[in-house]
Amino acid sequence: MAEPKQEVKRLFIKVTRDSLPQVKDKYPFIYLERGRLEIDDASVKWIDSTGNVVRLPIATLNCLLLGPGTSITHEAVKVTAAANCGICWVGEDSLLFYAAGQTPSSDTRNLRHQIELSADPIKSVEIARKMFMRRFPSADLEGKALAEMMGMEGYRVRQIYEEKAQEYGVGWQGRKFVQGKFELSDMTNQILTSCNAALYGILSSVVHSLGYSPHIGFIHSGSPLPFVYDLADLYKERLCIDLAFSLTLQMGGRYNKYKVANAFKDRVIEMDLLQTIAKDIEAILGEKRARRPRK
Amino acid sequence: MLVVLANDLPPAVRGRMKLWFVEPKPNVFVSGIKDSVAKKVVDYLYEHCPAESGLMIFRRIAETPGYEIRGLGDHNRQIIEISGLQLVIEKQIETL
Repeated sequence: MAEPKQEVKRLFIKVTRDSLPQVKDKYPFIYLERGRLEIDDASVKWIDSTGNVVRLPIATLNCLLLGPGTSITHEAVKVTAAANCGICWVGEDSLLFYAAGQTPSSDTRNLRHQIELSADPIKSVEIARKMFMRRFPSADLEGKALAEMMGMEGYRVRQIYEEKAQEYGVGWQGRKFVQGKFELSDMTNQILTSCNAALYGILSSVVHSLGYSPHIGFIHSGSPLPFVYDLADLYKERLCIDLAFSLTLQMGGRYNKYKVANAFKDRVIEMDLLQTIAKDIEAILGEKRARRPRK
Repeated sequence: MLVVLANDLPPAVRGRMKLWFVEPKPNVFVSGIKDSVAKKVVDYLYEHCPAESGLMIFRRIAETPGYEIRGLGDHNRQIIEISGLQLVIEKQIETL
């Protein structure tokens, strides 16, 4: 007689917020392309085009940048979302789609605070001024309206481009970006476009993880992710502009996305970007109330 | 923090390793030495361990992601780097 089969106890480990690392302690991003993400034994498994099976420690990653040729299963999206890891679909021409999950115990306190600040015209301009002050500490912004500050910014940003072009000895005809025509722009513009795309991805996922909304901005408006663009401007000079000009000559006329991605990742880690973003948002939107309540 | 897993070690090297490590299980070595010393010890192991020892060395580092993995000789599983993050290849699928 066959032995009665022992009932297998199903183990179900819930992912809760207290089991997830803080945003600042996560690895900023990994870029995946040509392969498949699926779930097996409750963990996320990456199978690349050459048949390598790699488990991804998803709870320690800030976001996944999915490049061309990736597919992902329903369950994988679910688990990734539960672990508070953002998913961004990144194309070579930087067409993007961001997805972010919410942890089961997340709250909307920070979002409420952000909306309150943004809805108040005086407070909102004050936040915009704080953001500009960080970038241009020497500028006199007292009492200026948003439109005036944005005008000053445009001029100063063009100046930064010129300075960097001169510093690295790279020809520069201005920032050109045409959606869907990535290859047609010059080398520096191509690097800028892809670095910006990655930066937006990282920011979207941080903003979501901290419980804010990427859709409510203080400087930008109308665009899909105004708050992300507001924040991105704080880091672009070092992270994207300086990098793009310094890489242009090294590329030797041929765009190499792996080289760009690696150099970008090195800068992100060197700047400790995730920690910086979390601190900066707190400092800009007001420290005390922006903090999550203790349970 | 430094953790070393080995397949097989010559007695001389094992003895020398115990200057820094405890061996709570055969071929599992754990040490609490700080980052800069740990780096020296790892380099030392690299220099003196034969390929047959099949070492896998885990070192805590201050920068993200907080760890560094190094392998020496046949250590069974291959390490892969994706966007600078060290991950492990579990297996190879022959046909997809």
